[in-house]
Parts: sequence; C-alpha cells; structure tokens
Amino acid sequence: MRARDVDATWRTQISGYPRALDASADGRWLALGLDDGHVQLVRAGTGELDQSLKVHGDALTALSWNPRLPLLASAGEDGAVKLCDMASGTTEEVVPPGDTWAQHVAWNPKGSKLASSVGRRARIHALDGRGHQELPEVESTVAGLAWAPDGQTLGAACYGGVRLFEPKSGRRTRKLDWKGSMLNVAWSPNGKVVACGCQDNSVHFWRLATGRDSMMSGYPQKPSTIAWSHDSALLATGGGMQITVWQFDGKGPEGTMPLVLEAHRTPVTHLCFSPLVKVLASGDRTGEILVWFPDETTTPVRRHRLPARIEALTWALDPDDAQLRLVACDAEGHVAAWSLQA
Amino acid sequence: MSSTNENLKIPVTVLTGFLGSGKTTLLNRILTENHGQRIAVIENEFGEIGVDQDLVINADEEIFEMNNGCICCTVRGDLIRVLGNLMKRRDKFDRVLVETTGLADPGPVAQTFFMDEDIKADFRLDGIITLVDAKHLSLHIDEAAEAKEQVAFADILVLNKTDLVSPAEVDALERQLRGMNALARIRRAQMANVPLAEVLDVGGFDLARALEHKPTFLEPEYPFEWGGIYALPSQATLTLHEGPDPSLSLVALPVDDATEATLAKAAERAFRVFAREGQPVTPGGRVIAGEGQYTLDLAGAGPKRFTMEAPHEGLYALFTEHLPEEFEATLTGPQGQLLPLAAQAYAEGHTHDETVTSVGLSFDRAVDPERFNAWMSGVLRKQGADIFRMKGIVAMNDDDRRFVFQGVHMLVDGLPDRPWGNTPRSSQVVFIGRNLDREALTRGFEACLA
Repeated sequence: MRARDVDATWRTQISGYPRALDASADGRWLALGLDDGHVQLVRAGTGELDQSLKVHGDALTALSWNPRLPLLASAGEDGAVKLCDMASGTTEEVVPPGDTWAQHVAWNPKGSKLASSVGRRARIHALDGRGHQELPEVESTVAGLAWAPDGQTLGAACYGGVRLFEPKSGRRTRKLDWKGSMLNVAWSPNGKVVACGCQDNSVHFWRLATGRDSMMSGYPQKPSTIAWSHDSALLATGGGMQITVWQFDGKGPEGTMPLVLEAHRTPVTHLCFSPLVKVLASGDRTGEILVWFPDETTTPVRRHRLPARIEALTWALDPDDAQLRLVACDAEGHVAAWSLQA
Repeated sequence: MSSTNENLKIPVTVLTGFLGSGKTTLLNRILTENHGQRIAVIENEFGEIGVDQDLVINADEEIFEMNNGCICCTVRGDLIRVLGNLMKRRDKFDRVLVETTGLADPGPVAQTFFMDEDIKADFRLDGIITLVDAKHLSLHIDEAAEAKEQVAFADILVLNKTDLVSPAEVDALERQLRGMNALARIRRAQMANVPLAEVLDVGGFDLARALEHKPTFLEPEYPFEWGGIYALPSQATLTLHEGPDPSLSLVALPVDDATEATLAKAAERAFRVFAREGQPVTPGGRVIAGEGQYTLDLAGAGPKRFTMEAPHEGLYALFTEHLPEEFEATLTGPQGQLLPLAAQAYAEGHTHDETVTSVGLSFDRAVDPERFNAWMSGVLRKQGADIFRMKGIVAMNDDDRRFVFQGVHMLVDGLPDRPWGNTPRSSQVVFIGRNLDREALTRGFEACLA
C-alpha cells in the first residue's frame, strides 16, 4: 500500500520561527508561539491570520489553551508566564520576567488550574492568574509537566525521574526514580502509566498502581518525542528515523516486540496521536509528515510535506464541518492543515 | 564530530579557569572587540557582562550522569537544553561562548558535543580555553583537582596576569603547564590581552586540523633545562648561589654563530656529552669550555665561584641541568656581566611531581591496524576515566592515508585524512591524563608497530 498525498486544506506562512502550536478546545483557533515573543492566532478552518500579539520579551517556549475557556497560557525565555484572555484581549502576568527561562505550561484537565515551570521550580496557578502554589524545587530544570487525567496529581519530569505533587497543598507525594535525565513526560489517558523519554536513548515508564518501572532501550537516538493513543493502548516513541510503538493493551509491553513504523528518512522530531481515534501523525527533520493507522498497518497511509524541519503537530476538530484536521508547522514558519476524511 | 557540513555548524568556545583568573575580562574583550558577530553567552555564574546586541543566558550547571555510571556518558544537561533552544530562532547566532564556573569539570562539557545527536548536528566544539592566574596558579593546582583538569583539557592555555610575577616565575609556570598538557598552545597575557584570532576558531576538536600545530611532546627531552650562547672571553667567573639541588651539571660547546638553529644543533651535541659521567668540580675550581661535562659542587651556604676558561675566545653554547635563575647564576668577564646572545629553556624531563602529565609517543613506522585498535580500546577501557584528552595521527600499514583521531575520556572520533604521499610514514599519539604509565604506554604502542 502506498501512502497517498492529499492536498492541504490550506497553507500559510507566518514570519518567525514557531516554537509552539496548540489548538483551542472548540477547534476554531490555532495559536502559534514564535521566537520573537509573539503569539499568532490563526483560524483553524481557513488558515487566516486573525491577530498577532507581542506577549513575551524574548522567544516563546510553550503554549497551552485552556480546555474550556478562550484562555491561552504561555511561557517564554524572558522568564515570564502569561495568561491571555482572547475574549477580552487582556493579558495577565502570572510569573514576572526573570533571569531563568520559563519553559512549560499545562492546564489541568478541567481547566481550573494552570501548572508552569521556571528552571527547577514548578508552580500551580489559580484560573484568574491571581495567587499560586509554589512547589518544592526538583533536582534539575523541569523537563516536562503532565497532569493525571483526574487532575489530582501533577507530574514534573527532571534529572532523576518524575516527581509527583498534590496540587492543593503543593506537597510532593511521590518520587518515580530512575537515574538518568528525563526529556519529556506523558501520562496515559487512563491514568495508569507515566512514561518518559530519556537522554540515554531509552524510554522509561512506571505503573502507578504497583510502582513497577521498566526501561525500554536500544534507541539509536534520544526519544525526544513520545505520545499516548487516546485509549492508552499504544505509546508511540521517537528516537531516530524509526517510530517504536509499545503495546500496553496485552501482557506487554515488557517482553513483547513493539510495532516498528519505518518510512521516515531523517530523525522524527514530533509525534501526535489524535484525541479521538487511533491515528498517529509524525514529522521529521526535513519536513516530511506521515500519518499512520498503527492498529491496521505498519506502512503510512498519508504522506505530506512542508519545506523545513517539523516543529509541531496537532490535531483539531473543526466544529462547523466536524472534520478532524492535522495541523503542522515547520522551522521556516510554513503552516498547513490536512483533512483526515478527504 | 566529522560530518560534511562541519563548516555550517555554529562554533562553541568554552572558557574555563578558576575564579579571578580573568575569564570575565576575556569574555568582555571578545564581546566588545568582535564586532559584527552575533554571540550567545551561556554563563553558570554571575558575571559582570552586558553587551546589548548579544544574548546572555544564565543556566545552572546541570551535570547528568546516565544509569550505567560510565564517566564518558556524563553530559551537561543545561547546555543541551539551552543550545537546543538557540537553534530555534530565525536569526541564528554566529558563535556561542560557554563560561564555566571556576570549579567546573570540562569533561562533561566536551562530552556533550560527542554524545548528543541534536547538539552534534548543529554545533561544533571549537576549543577549550583555560585561563591561568600566573600569581595564584600553584595555589590552585595544589588545592584543587579541578584546576589540574582544566589545564589538562585545554586547547589554549592563557597564562594571565604575567605582570604580577617575575619573568623567571612565568618561565617556570609555563614549563609546569607544558609538562601537564603538551597539546595546548600557551599564550602569555596581562588583563587577558591575548589576540582574539588565537583563541577563536582554534579547531581544537577538528580532526582535519588535529596535530596541525605540532605538540611540544615532539620536542626531544633533554637532560638539561636551559641553554644559552655566550661570547666568552678567555677567562670569566661563574657565580652561583644556593639552589634546589646541591650540584649542577654543565656543558659548554663551541659554536659558529648565535642563532636559534645553531643553539638547537648544539643541544643535540650536548645531549650526547651529558650522557657521559660529569667531572666533579668544587668551588674555586676550573671549568674548561668545550671539554666535556662538569658537575659543580654547590653544597653549603653562600655564593660559590668557579673559573670558566675558554681555550679560544669566541662563541660557546652553555647548557645547564637546571635553570640559571634557580641558582641566581651570573657569568662575569673582564668587561662586566656576560649576557646570553640566544637562550632557550627546555621542557623538564618527567621529574616534576605532577599527577597530571602528557605522554607523547612517536615512531617512524606504520602500525598494524588490528593490533593498534585492540590496544587503543584496551587503554581507553581501563584508563579512560584518567585520560582527559588524546590525539593521534598514525600510518596504518594497509592504508596510504593518514589516520587521525582524538578523544575525550573514553570517547574517540577518528577518520582517514589526506594521503601520506612522499612523506615518510610515522605514528604519533599523545595522551594527557592522570597517573599515566609512560613505559607501559610506550611498550603497548611499540607492540602495534607493523
């Protein structure tokens, strides 16, 4: 079976190096965070640029839409964490600028609390941006933040594993230890497993019920991108040109062979599972984007292309036509959307 | 670190040195004098720098060891993170400077550029510059292992603040540094005023440029530390004071002129004379120039005088076992004090009590690739933790190209370079490390010769 190339629904180009991309919960908006501190708001249906806001004094590092409200959280190399209310056009500074970069923002699943990190310090902010809970510092700069699906726990990945915090008191409740440097963190949608890509070319995960942890090694490069399928059955991991997919729905993945998706010709930079169906999108260093149905076949079903290195991928469901769209942006600011149904 | 796009990669210069050695001064000079380049500075400690067009990033020094505990897998997490983000900008930087803390171990910094694929793809480590405070070097060297490691890792050693010590002390410091790190280029400076062209674009980790600057280990090691050419009258007085040794061996040989080349040739002759037993002389005794080796007895307090006679008035090269200033030596003729017309200090043998040393091995032969690889991997496996830097260029007996390689701890990178052509084949390796066994390394390397 040959991967089909389908025309993009729309293509556009923005001026800047996109650092972050996120789709709003209602599927209408895409926010792009740029290297000059701007946030650009693009209509998900047409690719039209709606507005451009200068939010940070230096490069933007992360963006997260509130899951219920038109509220966009952002972090920047100016050290600040900000909240932009897109309805009123007002911006709230929840962490002031400083010497250390702010690098991560993540809303809890209900959208009632925002987690952010600046260096080794993570904080949990109230929805209105006023008042926050400071968490104890972790061992190194926070490499990633992930909320448990029930919103009762926040995980911060760092050198030495993942540290779990109780958001109300800010107390550290658990340490998921592994001697190594975590690159990212992803909580399975069923809440049972916390997984990380590690600097030493391996993937590590912990089963929270038993505390049992496992290491999956043998990656030719570090797995700097990992993604769970919506049903928690599959964990897709990058780390070279191959995509390794660990199956959690059977006895495994320990002691089983993973699915290996091979078609990229340069290392994979980004992986993203659709939030509704088991469809995986992957992007690589030269701008190739592949779409996979890993349950059905290990060959890609779609092949798309942007001119430069893929920086981010996201899925957006358009409320008007109920179309699931894949959106990608590359290092030169090219942005495009493809409809899955086409 | 040897891909085809090496020149497109952004060069990274690492500045190390103890607190007060002048790192910030040099950094500021690079930022202010190097106009037209966009420079990003990564700092681990607070420094007084601030140049508008450049970017200064504060990062905690985050040393990441991997689970296997292997020293070569230790990398700098903060560098990976910061450099990774620096690439994600529309206006790229022309150069990155990493200023380390005074106590930083340069090993993980260097290894980051070997170990991390993303960093390797976009950056090349150009060189490690270590600033050394001439006034306080011995203090630092004796007190902290880190100071020795910073000297051992350097591509360029800037011996700074030379205005605060005597010229003789600077010479002695330079020889001490040379004994520890035979690969580095040493530059003397005051207020870190070293020419920028000598510290930027060094190519210290560039295989194609490896050994372009011949390391000093290839200079022969002599049984004497100093030589100088004098115009000797028929009789002169040599005065010496108490020094580090109760005796001093000395040779004077007639020469035709006072050039450096002549002095170098005379040194070869003196080498053979020194191999013979010296004739003992007590204070008040006679030393005849051109007549073999003398061992001056310097026991006891106070100045000692010897008569130096030249059979024919004229030029003589005088070689001494130790530096003349160590004994406050003076040579006085009928017209007053005699000064050398040319002089050269030679690397001390390996008598200096340093745990960090360089071992340079050189043979005019090709090696057997299989035996050589087996030996090299064995050495690195067993002693990699103690080997800071290593460079080599060898002739393989099954390949007409030079094979160049270099390493940091256990990590080695190598590739075939240009053909030998008509140049005679030779094989050279330099190790810089702690507790190196020169004899065992020599025997091991010899056993690989084809």
